Amino acid sequence: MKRFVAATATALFAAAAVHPALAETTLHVMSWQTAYVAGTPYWDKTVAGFEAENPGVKVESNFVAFSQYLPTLTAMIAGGSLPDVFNGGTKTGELGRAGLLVNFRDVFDQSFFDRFFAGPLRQYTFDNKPYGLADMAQDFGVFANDRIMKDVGLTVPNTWDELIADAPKFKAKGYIPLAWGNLTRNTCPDFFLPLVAQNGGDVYALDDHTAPGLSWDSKPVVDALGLLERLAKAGVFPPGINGIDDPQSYQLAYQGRAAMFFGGSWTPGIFAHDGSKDWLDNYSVHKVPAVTADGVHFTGDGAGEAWSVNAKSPNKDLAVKFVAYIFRPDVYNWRAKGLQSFPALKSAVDQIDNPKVRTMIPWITTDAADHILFGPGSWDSVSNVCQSALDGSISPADGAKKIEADVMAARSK
Amino acid sequence: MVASHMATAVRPKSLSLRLRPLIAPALFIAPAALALILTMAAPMADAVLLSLERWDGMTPPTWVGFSNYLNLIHDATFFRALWHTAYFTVCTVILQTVLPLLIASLLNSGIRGSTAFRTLYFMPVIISLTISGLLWAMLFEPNFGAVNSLLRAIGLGDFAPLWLAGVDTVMPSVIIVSVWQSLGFYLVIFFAALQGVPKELYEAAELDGAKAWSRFLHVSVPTIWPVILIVIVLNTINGIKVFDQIWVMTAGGPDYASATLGTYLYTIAFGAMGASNSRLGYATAIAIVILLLSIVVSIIQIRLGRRADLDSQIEM
Repeated sequence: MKRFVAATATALFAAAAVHPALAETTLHVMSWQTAYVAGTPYWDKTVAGFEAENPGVKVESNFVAFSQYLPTLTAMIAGGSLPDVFNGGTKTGELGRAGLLVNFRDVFDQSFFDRFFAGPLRQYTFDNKPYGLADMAQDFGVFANDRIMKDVGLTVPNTWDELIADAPKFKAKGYIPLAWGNLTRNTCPDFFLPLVAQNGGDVYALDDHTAPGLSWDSKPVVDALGLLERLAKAGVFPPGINGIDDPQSYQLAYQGRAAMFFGGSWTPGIFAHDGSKDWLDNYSVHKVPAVTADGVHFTGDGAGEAWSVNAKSPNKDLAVKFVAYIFRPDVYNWRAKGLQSFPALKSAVDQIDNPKVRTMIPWITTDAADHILFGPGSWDSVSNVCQSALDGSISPADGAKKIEADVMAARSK
Repeated sequence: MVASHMATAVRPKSLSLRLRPLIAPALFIAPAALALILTMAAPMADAVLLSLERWDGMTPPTWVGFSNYLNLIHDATFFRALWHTAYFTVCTVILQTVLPLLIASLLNSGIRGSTAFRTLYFMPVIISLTISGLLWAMLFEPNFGAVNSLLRAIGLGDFAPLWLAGVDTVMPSVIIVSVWQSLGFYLVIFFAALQGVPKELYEAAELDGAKAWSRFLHVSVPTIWPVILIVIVLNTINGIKVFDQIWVMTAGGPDYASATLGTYLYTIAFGAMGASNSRLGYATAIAIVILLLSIVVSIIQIRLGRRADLDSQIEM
C-alpha cells in the first residue's frame, strides 16, 4: 500500500514536473504562525525579497492552525512528504535524531549562532546539533490590571506565598487573582515547568531522561506539584481552570474579572489586537513570583517556533539558503518589527516598540528556564498530571510518580 | 427425437456459457469495487499489518507481532478510554433513541405546530459537530459561561457545576451536547417511520380500549421496530467511534476524564497540542479494537433485533 501510494505520488510529481508552467522551483514553507501567510506585509516583503534574489524560485507559504499543526506534521512525516522548510515544533528532536532534519551546525558557522539568545537556541539543539532555529523567543510574566490592584490595595506579589496570602483579598472583592486557561492542556506545562526550575530541578535533563538516577518523581518535581496544588487550593486560579480555553481566559482579563493574567511574551501583541480599553489602559507586566523573596523567578527562555530544513528535500540547499536569508539581520528585522514579539536574534531587540515586551526581554538572561518538552511521552505525561494537580485529584507525590511511570511507559511502547 | 431433445436440455452448460451472463454485471460493479478495494480494503489490510508493527513514522517500522495488543491489556488509560466509550455509547443509545422516539410520537399525534417543532429540533443537526462543540464549550465555561450565569441568575449558583472542567461532570456534559445535536436527526427518521404506520392499527387498538401509552408500546414500537433497530445500531457505531465533538470540547481531558477510544487513539497517533512521539502501530491497534467492537456490537444488536422481531411475529 505504502509503495502504491509512493508510486502514485511519484507519477503525479513526474507529470507535474514536465509541465512547463511548473518548471520553476517551488519552496514549500509551513508554519502555524498566522502572520506568515500571503497578505501580511512583512512576510510578503520577505518572500518577494528571496524570490527576487533567486530567479526561478517561488516560495509557497502554508499556514496550518496550531491545533492541527502536529497532527498534520505527523501525517506528513508518515507519508514522507515533509515541506522544505517548516516549524518542527516538539517533534524537532525526534525528526533531527531520525536524520530527517538538517543539522545547522553543518551549514552555518559559529558567528551565525552567536546572534541568537542562548535559551531559544538551546531549546532546539539536541546532542549538540541545532535542528531548529528559533523564530521568536518567549518567556512568561504576570500581566496585572493596575486599576484592580489599586482597588484591592495590593501590589503584584514577589513570591508565591504572598500570592496565596493575597488570594482571599482578591476574591473578597470578586476578582480572580491570577487567570489563565488549561482546557487544551498546553498552558499548564508553561506554568508548571518553570516551577520545577524554581525548586531546583533541571527540566532539560528531566526531558532528556538519560542522566543516571534522574527521574520525574524527584524532589523538585514533587515540590513544584505541591506548589501548584497549594495555589489551586488557595483559589489563586479561576474556578474550573481545566475547562477554560485560551480565548476565554483572555476574556477574564479583558472584562476586568481577573486581577492578573499569566501569559507569554507574545501576549502583548494579542492584547494590542483584541484587548478591551480598560485592560490596555491599565495593564503592566511583572516577573512571575519566585519561591523565596530573593529567589530567581525563572520566567522561561524558550521558543515556540523554530525553523527546520527537511534533510531529504530535493531543494535542501535552496531551503538552507532561505533559512539563512530569513535570519539575515535586515530581513529578520522586518519580521520582528511587524510581529512585535520577543525576537530570537539579539540584534532585533531595537525593533520592538511594545514597552511590555521590552520589559520582558532582559528576563531571558536573568531568569531563564525550560518550559517546552520534546522527549517521548514527556509532554502528555506532564500536562495530564498538571490537570489533576489543578483539580486536586492527585497528590504531589503520586503525581510525580505518575509522570515518571507514564514517561517510561510511553518510551517502552 | 424426444430423448435427443431431453439430452440437450439437461446437458450441463460449459463454464464460459455459465459465466457469460455475469460479465456485464461484473463490468458494471468493477469500477466501484476497485475503488472500494483501493480506498477501503487495501488500507484496512495495511492497518492490520501496521498494528503488528512499531512505527514512529520517521524510522522504518519494526515487526512486533501482537505486542501492541498485549500492551493494551496493561494500559490503564486504554481501559479508562474504553469505559468512557462504553458509558458514552450506552447513554447516547438510550437517550438518542428513546427521546426522539417519544417526541416523534408526540408530534405524530397531530399536535398543533408539529412542523415548527420538527424544524426547531432539526436545526442543531445542520451545525457541524466542531462548531457546536466549540459553542457549547463557551456556554459551559464555569465563570462567565451562559449556563452557569443562568443558574446564578435563578438563584442556583451553588449548584453551578464545573461542567467540562470537572472529572465527574465532563462526560455528562458531552453527552448532553451529543443528545442536543443528534435528537433532531433521529426524530425525523422516527417521524417518517411513524407516518407510515397504518391508521387502522391505531383505530383498532383504540376500539379495543388501548390508551395512548398502550398504543405507542403495542402498535407504534412493534411496527417501526426495524427503524428503531437501525437507529440503535447507528447510535452504537457513532458512540464507539465518537471523537470530534469530544476532541474540540475537552481534548479528552481533564486528565483523560473524557478520553474515549477515538481521542486516545488520536493522541497516541498524532499528538495533541504539544505531544511529541507518535506511536502509529500502537494507535492502529486501538483502531482495530474500535473496528472489531463496532462489528461485534452491531452484529449482536441486529441478531437480537431479528430475534425480537421473530418472537413478536410468532406471538401475533
